[in-house]
Amino acid sequence: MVALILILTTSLFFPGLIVRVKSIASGRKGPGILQPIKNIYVLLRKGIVYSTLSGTVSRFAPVIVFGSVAVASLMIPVAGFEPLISFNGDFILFAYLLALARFMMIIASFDTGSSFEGMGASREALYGMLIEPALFILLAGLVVFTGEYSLTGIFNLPGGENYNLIYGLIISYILGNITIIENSRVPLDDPKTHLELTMIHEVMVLDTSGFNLALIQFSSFIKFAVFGSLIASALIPRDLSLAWRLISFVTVQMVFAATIGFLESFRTRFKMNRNQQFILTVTMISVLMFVIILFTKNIF
Amino acid sequence: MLILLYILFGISLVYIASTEKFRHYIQIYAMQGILLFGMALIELKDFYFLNLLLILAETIIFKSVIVPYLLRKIMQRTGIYSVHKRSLKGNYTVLLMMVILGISLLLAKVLSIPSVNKIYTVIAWFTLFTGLLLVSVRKYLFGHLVGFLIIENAVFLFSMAIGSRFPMLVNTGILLDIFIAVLVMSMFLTKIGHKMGGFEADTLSQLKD
Amino acid sequence: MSVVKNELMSYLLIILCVTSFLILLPSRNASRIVAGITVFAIAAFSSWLAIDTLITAFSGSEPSTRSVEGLIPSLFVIDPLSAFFILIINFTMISGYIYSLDYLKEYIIRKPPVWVKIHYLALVWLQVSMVILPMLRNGFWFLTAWELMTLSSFILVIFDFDEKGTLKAGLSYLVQMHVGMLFLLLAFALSSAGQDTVSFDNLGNWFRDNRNWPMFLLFFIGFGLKAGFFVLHTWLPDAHPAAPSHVSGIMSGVMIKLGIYGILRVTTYLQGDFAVIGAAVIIISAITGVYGVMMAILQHDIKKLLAYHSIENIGIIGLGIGLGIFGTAIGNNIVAAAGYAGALLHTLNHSLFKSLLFYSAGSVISQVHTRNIEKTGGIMKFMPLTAWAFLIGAIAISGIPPFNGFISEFLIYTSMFHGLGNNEFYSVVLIFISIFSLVLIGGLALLCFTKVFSVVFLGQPRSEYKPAPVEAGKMMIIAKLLPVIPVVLIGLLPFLFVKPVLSIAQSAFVPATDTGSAIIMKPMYYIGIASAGLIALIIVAILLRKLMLRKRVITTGPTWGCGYSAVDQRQQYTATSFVQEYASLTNPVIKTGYSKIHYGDDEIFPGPRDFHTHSDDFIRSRIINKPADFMVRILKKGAVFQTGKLQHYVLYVLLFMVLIFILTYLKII
Repeated sequence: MVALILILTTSLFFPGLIVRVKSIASGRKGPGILQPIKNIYVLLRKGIVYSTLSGTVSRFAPVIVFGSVAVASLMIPVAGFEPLISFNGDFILFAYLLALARFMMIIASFDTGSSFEGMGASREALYGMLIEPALFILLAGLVVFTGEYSLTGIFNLPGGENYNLIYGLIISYILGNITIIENSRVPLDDPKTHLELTMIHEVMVLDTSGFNLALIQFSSFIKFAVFGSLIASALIPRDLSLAWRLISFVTVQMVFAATIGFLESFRTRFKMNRNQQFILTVTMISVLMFVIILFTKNIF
Repeated sequence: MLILLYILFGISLVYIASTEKFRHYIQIYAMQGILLFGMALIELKDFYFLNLLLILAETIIFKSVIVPYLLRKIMQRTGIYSVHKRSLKGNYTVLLMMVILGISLLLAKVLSIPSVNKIYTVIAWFTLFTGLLLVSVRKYLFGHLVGFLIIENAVFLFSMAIGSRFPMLVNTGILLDIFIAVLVMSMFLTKIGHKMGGFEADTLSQLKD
Repeated sequence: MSVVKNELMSYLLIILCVTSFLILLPSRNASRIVAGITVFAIAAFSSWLAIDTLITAFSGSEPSTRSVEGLIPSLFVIDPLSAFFILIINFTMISGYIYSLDYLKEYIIRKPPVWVKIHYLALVWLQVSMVILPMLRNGFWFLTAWELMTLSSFILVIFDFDEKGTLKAGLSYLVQMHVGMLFLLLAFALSSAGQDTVSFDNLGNWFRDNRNWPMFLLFFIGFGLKAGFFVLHTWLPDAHPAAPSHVSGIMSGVMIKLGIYGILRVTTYLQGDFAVIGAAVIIISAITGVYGVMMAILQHDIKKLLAYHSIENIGIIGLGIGLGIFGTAIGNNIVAAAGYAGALLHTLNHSLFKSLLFYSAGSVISQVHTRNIEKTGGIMKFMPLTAWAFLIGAIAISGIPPFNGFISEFLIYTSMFHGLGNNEFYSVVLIFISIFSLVLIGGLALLCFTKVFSVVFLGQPRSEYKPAPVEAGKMMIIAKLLPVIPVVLIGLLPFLFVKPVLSIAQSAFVPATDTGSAIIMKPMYYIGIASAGLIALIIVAILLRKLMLRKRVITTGPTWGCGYSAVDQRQQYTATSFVQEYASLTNPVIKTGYSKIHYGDDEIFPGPRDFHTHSDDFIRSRIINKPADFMVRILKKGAVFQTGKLQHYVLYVLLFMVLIFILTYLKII
């Protein structure tokens, strides 16, 4: 229960923090940290405009996206706090629930009959296909390392030893890249761009509005919080006291958000054809991590 | 700590195979020098002090300072700043790197001897094949040079795999290789390059007379 | 169960086979009804036998193998594995028959009546042969039933023989099945050499005394040609589009699974070489799965696409089998049980959602009269029920929760991840490869099915429909509803269905342990809870939306066109564009050709042009076509002897006799 509350709280503050850091990095003061949540609140109370060409798919796809991401977040351990649902192999359900969300987004974007949205959907499908092996190889490596088969078990790296921090850092690096790719941040896709030809995620929701758009945006916030919590679980040893764990969790999330913000400010987005290479590089790093784990466990 | 060095070395190899700017080549190569310095420092602690000092000096001074400086000079003289031509697209390079990692794992497993440190063998094979890949993938000669330097890194790692004895001969051999390579390359690129009309490997085939 | 009733069963079965010929007698409609009665009757009898076997096997009171006494003693032997396959076959045959009632209506008007009757006769005999196959252990009868299955499915495939290419596809199918038959014959003959009956049971002795893997390889090639593994698949992408949709659904759903049944049956007798065989099966299945889905993405013909997906799913089933064998090799019962259970469950699941997909595709094709998805679009507005059925099938086949595809893939993943716990280098590398390939298969399947569903059903029509499509007929809808119910149920209540499948797997392959079963079953409860939570959350969100929007206005407006004023439906994203980045990524492996477009120098306002893309099945072109063409070229040189003149042939006979005399004189013969 605590885990769920922490994830929800993080999802409320995370995007605002990123925007704030980006503003400060470019010399402005920037909007308040709760501004994205206020935007969602406004959206929740607005009417909806559907496209004339769309059918039932546009009506229910945003709801399914939100539902699947929300259920996926029920399985995430947060810095030693147990999630609501935890069983052997739950990371498979987690990854495939995110795939369900992606499926629904793609067909919702085709429903409007717009070529821009089809373009974004095509890129989203391809990048989603390429990033799944990275996540699974990382999880497989952790399964070999810890001998456990559930998310709670995997991200429970032994505390008190020297290896904890190093593995945590590498896992955080890989998970951070996966976050960037899943949520389409720079360098994959600039969320602030206004050119439809270059968008990936924003263009898929061009014809979504009101409550539906609020659901989809909130799902993206939850995804940030989910990956951030995984990073926090990898970095924070479990044998700290409750207060210390909470404090370090908040610190890790703030540092993560700040890092994403800084990277977005000081990095340009890649050319479109470099995106595939970027994702494959992340996969390669996961494979390297797997090999290193093989060595540590003396399997080699 | 060693784990971090191994992973960073692996990541540096991946980036050097997929990068597009020469500047990055030089920076990553310098970083590799520092990583090798760290590995040598931790692994070979109980060596003869002089030998150790020489190895450390070689890695940190030669690989991280002198060679990047020379390479940067070459870059400025010839005016090449980015890779324009590649015979293999970036995606396939990374995919090939995965295959190479698998091959080097299998090679190291099959050829393993108890007295040899296995993880260095794997990293050494991986580095060797990556260097060869770099040599064959790039069209500009500069890329060939960097590939050659990475193969020298692989030789260094092989000798660290043996571990117990690190003969001076191997060390000197590596240093000489690097020195000659940089010398020849700089001579070629600065003196001859203008007359050839290009810095690609294909132009070398016109050198028959 | 007394022996008397068993005899009655087998006699009834034989009587049914005889009366099926009645189909040929009366009018077309009556023959349909007779066929239907026969199909249902056979299904009822055999399913009753199967369910009875299963119940007695798992209540533990009687031995788990039942033999049905009849005309020939102990000919029909049913064990839980056979029972499972019999049930799968009957379910899909029934739904296929119901579908054909409406689907064939337009053909009945066009085709000669006797051809329709032969079609129904072949349907009944296909069912008979498929249902009998899992019950037969005797090699001779098994091969007879196998041949019967091939012949009847051949007749079904070439139903539409006026269409170009159907006959060629059917013939290629026939030839390849007979090549497989050759391998099976060889395998049976070798394994039963010196015994008095040719039977599967002789394999037990053979495997005890000899190296296991050569015999397994022979059987694998023979059964693999039917199933559609990697190099042996080339008949699938031609035969399935050529056949009418209900036949495609039946063939893809259950007929190729009989190849899997054969492999599983041989596996039950294996006694050694587990590691090598397991590793080989895993690698071949991984390649099959990835290859199948990689080719599927680039197809424009919807049925060819679905056929390639069958190849992919056979790869997934093969992964499960390979993991099962490998689990036995490393002595890990959980890996083995989960692997086999995943393979069996995926067999069931695939028959369900593949037949569903083929039926929906068939309905669409019969309305728009084209198989090319680039010419369709926006069908959801015309045929909503078909669209929903296809959507459920598409989500299920991508292995996405909360439907049944996820459950079987989850079982195979469980097997893989538990196999990682075995800390030996080569097994970890092998399992790493299998995890990588299964993830890749899942991602690629998602890419493909979002493309198909979106391009066919969503957006706007990409070409004109004359006449406008209407929703499919009642029978077709019922036929689609039949598989939808298990697809959804298995996904939402997995624990109900996985337990029996796991027990079947354990009874056939792996000694059962309670802790092993518990470890595999426990996640199923949680998955059920998570699926229920998902549905609940969705309903809550919808209600919340209704609540929040009580006083707000919901309107519609035109799609955002970024300021373009002449947007029409031709500018929608097409299937080719959707996969263009993917096609360029896989270009070294699968060459995608684009038609070249030229503009003349003085063409200021270019006229209309035609644009095609096509992708080549490189296995077909390099491994089958090239050697075949080469051989034809060489053999053509020998065709000079066939002059057609009688005098020349008499001369050949004379020369042959002279040759024989000379050889006998020289004592060579």
